[in-house]
Amino acid sequence: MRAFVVLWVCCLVIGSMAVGQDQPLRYNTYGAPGLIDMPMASSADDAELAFSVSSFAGQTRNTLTFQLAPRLSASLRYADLDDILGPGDVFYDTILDRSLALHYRFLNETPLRPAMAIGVTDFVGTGIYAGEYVVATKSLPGDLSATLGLGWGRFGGVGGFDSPLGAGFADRPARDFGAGGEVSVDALFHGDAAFFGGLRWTPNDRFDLALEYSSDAYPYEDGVAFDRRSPWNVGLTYAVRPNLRLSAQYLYGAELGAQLTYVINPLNPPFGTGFGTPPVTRSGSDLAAALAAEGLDLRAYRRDGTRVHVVVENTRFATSAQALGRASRVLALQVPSAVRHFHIALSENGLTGPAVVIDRVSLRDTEFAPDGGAAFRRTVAFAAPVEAGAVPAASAFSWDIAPYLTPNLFDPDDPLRADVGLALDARWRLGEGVIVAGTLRQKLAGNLDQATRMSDSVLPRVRSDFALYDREGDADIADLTLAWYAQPSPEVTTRLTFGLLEPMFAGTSAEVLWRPAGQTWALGAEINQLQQRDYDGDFGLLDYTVTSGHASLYWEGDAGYGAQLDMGRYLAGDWGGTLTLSRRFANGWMLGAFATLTDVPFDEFGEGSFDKGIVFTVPLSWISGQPRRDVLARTIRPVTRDGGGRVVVEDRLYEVTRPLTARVIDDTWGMFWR
Amino acid sequence: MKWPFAALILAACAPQPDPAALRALFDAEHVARLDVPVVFLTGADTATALVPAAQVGSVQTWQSRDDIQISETAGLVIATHGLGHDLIAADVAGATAALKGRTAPYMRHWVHLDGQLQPVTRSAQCRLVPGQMLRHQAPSEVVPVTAVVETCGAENPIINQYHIAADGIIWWSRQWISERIGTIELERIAR
Repeated sequence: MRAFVVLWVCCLVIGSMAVGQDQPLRYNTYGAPGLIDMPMASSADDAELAFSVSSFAGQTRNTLTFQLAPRLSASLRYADLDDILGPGDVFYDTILDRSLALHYRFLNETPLRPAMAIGVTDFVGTGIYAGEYVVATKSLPGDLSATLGLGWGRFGGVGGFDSPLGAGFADRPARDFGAGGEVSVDALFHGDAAFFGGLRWTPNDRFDLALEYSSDAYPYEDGVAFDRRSPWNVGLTYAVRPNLRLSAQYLYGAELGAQLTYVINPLNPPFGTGFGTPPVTRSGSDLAAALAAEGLDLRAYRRDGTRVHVVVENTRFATSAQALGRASRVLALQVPSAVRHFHIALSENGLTGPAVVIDRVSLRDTEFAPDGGAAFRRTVAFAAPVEAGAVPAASAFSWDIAPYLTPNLFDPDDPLRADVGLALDARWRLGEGVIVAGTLRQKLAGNLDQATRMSDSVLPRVRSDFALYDREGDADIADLTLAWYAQPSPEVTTRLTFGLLEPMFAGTSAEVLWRPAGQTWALGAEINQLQQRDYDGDFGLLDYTVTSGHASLYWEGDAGYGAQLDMGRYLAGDWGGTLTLSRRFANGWMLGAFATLTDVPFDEFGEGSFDKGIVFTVPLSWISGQPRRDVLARTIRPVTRDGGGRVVVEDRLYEVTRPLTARVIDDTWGMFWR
Repeated sequence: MKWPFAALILAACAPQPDPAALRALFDAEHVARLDVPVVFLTGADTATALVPAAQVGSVQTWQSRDDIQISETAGLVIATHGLGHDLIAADVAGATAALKGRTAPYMRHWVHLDGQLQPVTRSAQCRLVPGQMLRHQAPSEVVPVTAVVETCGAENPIINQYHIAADGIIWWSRQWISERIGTIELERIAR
């Protein structure tokens, strides 16, 4: 211990000569910011997503790490562990283990002070990787950095000593691998503590070399999966590309390991502001046609002296502001010069947002202003939408064929199953706010139908029979609905949807949303009368019926952070609530996590104890650079059980009306001139 | 009816333009038949010809058939569309004055959008240094020009180059657009 302290003091003295070097972040074998197998106090760039796969001695860890905030990251890990000797000397051939870790950098590095972070791992999973740490990292001259940490649990296994936190933290309760899912807070920072640390050398952007002293005794693996002979690890990382890194490690004097890390950042769009047709520069034959050429359906038009009021539906652009910018320029070219102001409102499914008031002279005079449109933005106001004469729909019918992928992750028999095929999406607008829509899918290849694990649920099998749905039929109607959207007042919207709502349920869904203008919150309520669909994906129904519904509170704060609380009755008839925390980006990315607690006891729920998962949305415009409105949206659950299940309904009101709000328009305003 | 996804696949598979082959189309014979000015653009992983699309005040906007727009004033690029990491706006007042003979250093500002779609301004002090007289070989004429180098910033400077004729027309230039694109070349093919 004394040697560590002396070494660390030396590092701080030498480090005072190095002013925080900008070393690229390294992810350790756990996929978290770290050296090789141990953590370090660094953080990734804000919003960075890292996917890593590491393997050694039959221990394969697949980790997704998201930099939630500039100082806070979360790691979701799915590990395939061979030859584990669990508590009570129970031997496991293979354990498929899911775990969650948090890492918070509470001090930034200065010339005289190291960066410091605190972290917890596997506090809601089985506890195989349970551990906590406080760690410091200091840059040194010569492209070096030094790390010293103090760990508990998994990180307190080698050279351990009595807890420095006092007698109250002396004992660490044993964890039973069990079903997992329960939060274990009584073990945090309890038990023996131990030091760990290491050095990292980054001579250039391509290579880095790390040497570490690990305090992980590998209590469940040592002597079974491999023989741990040394606490020292060495690792070499090579950046094939700035976002793709390969690592080789020699671990514990026993085994060679390998790791692949791929990083992506929603804040670094690969194609910048994108491609697509530039803004129109010449007038067209008529207003509706000119707007249609820009992907804007003219839904209503009225001239009122020196003002025109229009309502347009954006069918092309990922951001509301870009749609408004294009509409403004079309109007400037098409309407008589006597018109001085444009009142433009966006609509979705017949629902209309506030009007954006554009001063025509400002629009003309500031298009090429060197401030990038900041002064012009100050001339723009929001106003209530006005009654305008409806215009017959230019294109009432639309369709698209696109490939689909339906992965099924984490099945213990085969953790990665998927079907691929073609999906035909069709949409027919019968009238303003009345829409028939459906999705027909034809499977082309895949192995979802090979799942043999049958549900053992004691609840109504509202979700856990997913294997039966996957096995029956190669073609299915994913959804086929008739929906009616209405807007009793500018701030209140309603939806009534009837039909095959989703692959497992049909019925009727009614929803109302109150979204006060200028507020960060909204309130909603939904009630559904549902009947379970037959497994074959046709029109057949099973006997199970249920009435479900929720009251919902939505909130979006600064910097894109948001929360949603749903309280009500779920598909299995259970009562409870779902909390979803998310972060949204102006470019359309969204990442979030949710947890549902209902009156179903954990042991009745089964593996995982309660329903939880992550959700993400990636705009295809971000991926392709082309102007598109469609997104890749997924919900990933570690386990699909029946408690806490909620019916999936297309176009719920909060998401439909969100692009219409002044706040979203304002957040994306930079795209107005694009 | 539409096939947007199929169109996306086709666009992704489209071959990259060959600058030399495209440039060769603009020989003296073809240029003589042109009734509009043409600017040839290379860089940003593309090569294309642009023709005038709009004029607003002193700002001339050029557009190509493959949906690229360049807006310039006095030959200095102030906005682009369709290049990806585009230039949103630029303050070129100082550079314009310098090209007309003012010798004092001046400030330049470039506006881009960050990942949250917020405008970000990059500013640098610039100096413009006239170089030697050259004879610019346009397809249908030889034009005497002055080679001018504009250097902005001290560390990792932005360097723009211009070949400017006595009448103020910039016949060739290499201009910085953004960090990811770097510079593009613009060559005036015909007046």
